[in-house]
Amino acid sequence: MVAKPDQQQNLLRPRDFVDVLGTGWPFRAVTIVPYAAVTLLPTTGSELGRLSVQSLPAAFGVASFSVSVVVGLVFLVRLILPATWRRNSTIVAGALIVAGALRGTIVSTVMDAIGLEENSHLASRIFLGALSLPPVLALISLVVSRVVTAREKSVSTRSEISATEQKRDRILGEVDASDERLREEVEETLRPAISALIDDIHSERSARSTLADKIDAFANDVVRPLSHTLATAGSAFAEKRRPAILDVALPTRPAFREQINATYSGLVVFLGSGTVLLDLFPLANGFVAALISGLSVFGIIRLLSAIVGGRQFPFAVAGIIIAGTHAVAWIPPHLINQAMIYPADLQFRPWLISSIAMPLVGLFYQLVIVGEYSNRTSLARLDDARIEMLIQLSEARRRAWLRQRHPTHTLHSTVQSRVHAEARLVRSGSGKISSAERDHAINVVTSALNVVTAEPEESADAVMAIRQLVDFWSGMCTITLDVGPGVGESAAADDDFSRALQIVSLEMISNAIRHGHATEIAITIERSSPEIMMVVAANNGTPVSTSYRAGLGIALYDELAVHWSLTNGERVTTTAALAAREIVPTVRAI
Amino acid sequence: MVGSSVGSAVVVDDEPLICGIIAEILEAAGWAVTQAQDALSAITAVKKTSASLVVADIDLGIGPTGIDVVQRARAENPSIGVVFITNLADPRITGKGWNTIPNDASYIVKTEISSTTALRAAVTEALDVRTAGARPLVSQTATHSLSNTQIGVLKLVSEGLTNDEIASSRATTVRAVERLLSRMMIASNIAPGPSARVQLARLYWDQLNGR
Repeated sequence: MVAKPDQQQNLLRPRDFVDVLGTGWPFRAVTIVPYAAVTLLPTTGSELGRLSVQSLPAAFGVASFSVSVVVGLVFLVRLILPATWRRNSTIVAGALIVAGALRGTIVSTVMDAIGLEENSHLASRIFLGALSLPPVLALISLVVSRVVTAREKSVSTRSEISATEQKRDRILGEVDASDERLREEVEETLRPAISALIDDIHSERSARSTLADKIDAFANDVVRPLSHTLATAGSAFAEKRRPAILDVALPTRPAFREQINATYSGLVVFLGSGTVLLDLFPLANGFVAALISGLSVFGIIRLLSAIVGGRQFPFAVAGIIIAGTHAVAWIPPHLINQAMIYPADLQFRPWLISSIAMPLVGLFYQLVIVGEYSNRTSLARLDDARIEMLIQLSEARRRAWLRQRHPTHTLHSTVQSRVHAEARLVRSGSGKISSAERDHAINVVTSALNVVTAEPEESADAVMAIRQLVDFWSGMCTITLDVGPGVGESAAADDDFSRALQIVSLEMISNAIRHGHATEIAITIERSSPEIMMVVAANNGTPVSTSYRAGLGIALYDELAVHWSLTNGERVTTTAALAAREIVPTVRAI
Repeated sequence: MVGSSVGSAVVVDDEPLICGIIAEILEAAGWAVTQAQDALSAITAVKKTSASLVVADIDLGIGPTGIDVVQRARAENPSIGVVFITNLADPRITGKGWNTIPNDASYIVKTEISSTTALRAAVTEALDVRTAGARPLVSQTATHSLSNTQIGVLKLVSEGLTNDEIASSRATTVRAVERLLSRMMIASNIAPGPSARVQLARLYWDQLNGR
């Protein structure tokens, strides 16, 4: 429930580009429209080079037609492919390759028919169309899906935080109101009743039996109802905390290798140079030159990742390195192609295009990563706030429960019993009531007031108390206790946690023995996060029906734990997460 | 006293005054009594004295309950006599492990401790195999006719849960909860009507308050 997700694992990975094809996102209008918008200008540039007359409006018109065709084909694929096939990345990628090739065929056929081109560019259009549609649509799908999902999660998380905050404030408000009621009860009922009874005790006219009856009446008519009032009252000691959203940890900055991707840099170079080179050279020569370019860039980026991939740079520094690397990565393949593929009299200057386009390619990748990181940061911030709010809610509930439990139990059990016992002592005596008896009776009666107004004593050492439980059940049930580092320190520093740990551990042991007849229990107490201490009790008792948990301390776990669970496996395991903030050591200046 | 004792008894109550009064009554009846204020001390005393009787307060504060003490003591000596003491006329409404209270245990409300006779009767019944279990634990209370399950539901009603919420917490259907409530009203002589639910909740709180 409050487990923090791994904030780095959700950054873009190469595999995500493939997997997203099987998610249905490529066929949604919310993806296809941005795809059309993003590809319109590059397509215009590409078509401009192919036209026999270099006209920008004509190129734009052809590009618009080309993009319309591909959009239509994507929708057609969506119609044709059965739903189960659309969830298979390989089938979708194959269908998109076919659709891209069809796009090139359709556009080239139309261009040939209307005579806008001197030479046919069918091969380059099929090549570019077939190989660019799956990765570009995957990229757009990935970005769109992440943005939409992040927005939805953000809305729901904010809503959850708000609801939790309201719940916390309502509990604290009720606690305050109950405290006020309690104070009124004490002033209007308890104090007057005690005063009247003390007067009666002092009065030497009262017969023993009459006084004993009055003391009994005090227990029945004042102490017991007051304990009931307390059962629904809380404490004024629960403080309102600041909004959690202001106090959160951000995810760590991604490593350099997570901001750069050799596969996609190589693929983009292969596709980008391919679409130009196929128009300039014979098919085989153009393809080999594009392949050399793509593979070389892939190798150079991989080499860079291997050298500095694990380091974390500020985004600006990483951006400069990425752009700079891409800016020079075109040189080796260019030299190879010049030696092996390019004719000596080549007029076209690919190095000029490369030196402008390549840094942009690198920066584009980083832009996607930075956008994703920004999304993740925002969600992590919200998620931390959500967790913090749940912890605060748990702390408020726990404190309210513990603070009311102490006086309730003491009044209901101890004081009431003590007062009745005092009545019996008074009744069983003989002769006149001595002054020592009067003083004793007054002490007992006024103890009710002390219970309500006094601060609860500090809890005993929780770990020691649990060890005593181990001794208590020894011979009937073997209990092993594994206490992680820092548990004792946390219990010593946080009295509420200490009490909760003691009560929850006791409940786990008692339930295992009472209901499960366990003979072996293994208890582990260890920190699972800076805010949470996990208590896990695994026993060899009979499985517990998960559909019926009455009598298993469900209300107690609800009040004291952030969350809890009960599972029946090889062993019956109860797990409770208790709020316990890690102690940060402070260094004192001497 | 030890020489003429009828046996060893352990009294456990977190209130020393109560503990002392019970011990006094038992000692007067010839028992050798060890007093304990917590569960661990009680078990240690049971082992050490080979006690044949344990008188235990059900609620001992944070830590094992009197029920745990008895369960642990019975592991040492299955025939040990048991008398429970508590504040509540019907302790089932606390929901604290009532099902694990042995059937042959005697039970006495703390207010009855004022009466020496009541405690002696409870001890006698706890030790007498012919009448053990004959002492009805929840007689003469308004909730005695309700089953343990119904007491559990009564507690949920008193906490203001709706039928939906009760059904959810018990993993049953709303219809089943409605039938259960209907049977509870009949058993408690509560006429069906708009105020029936309020009366059920009052029944619970009255029992908790000992009214």
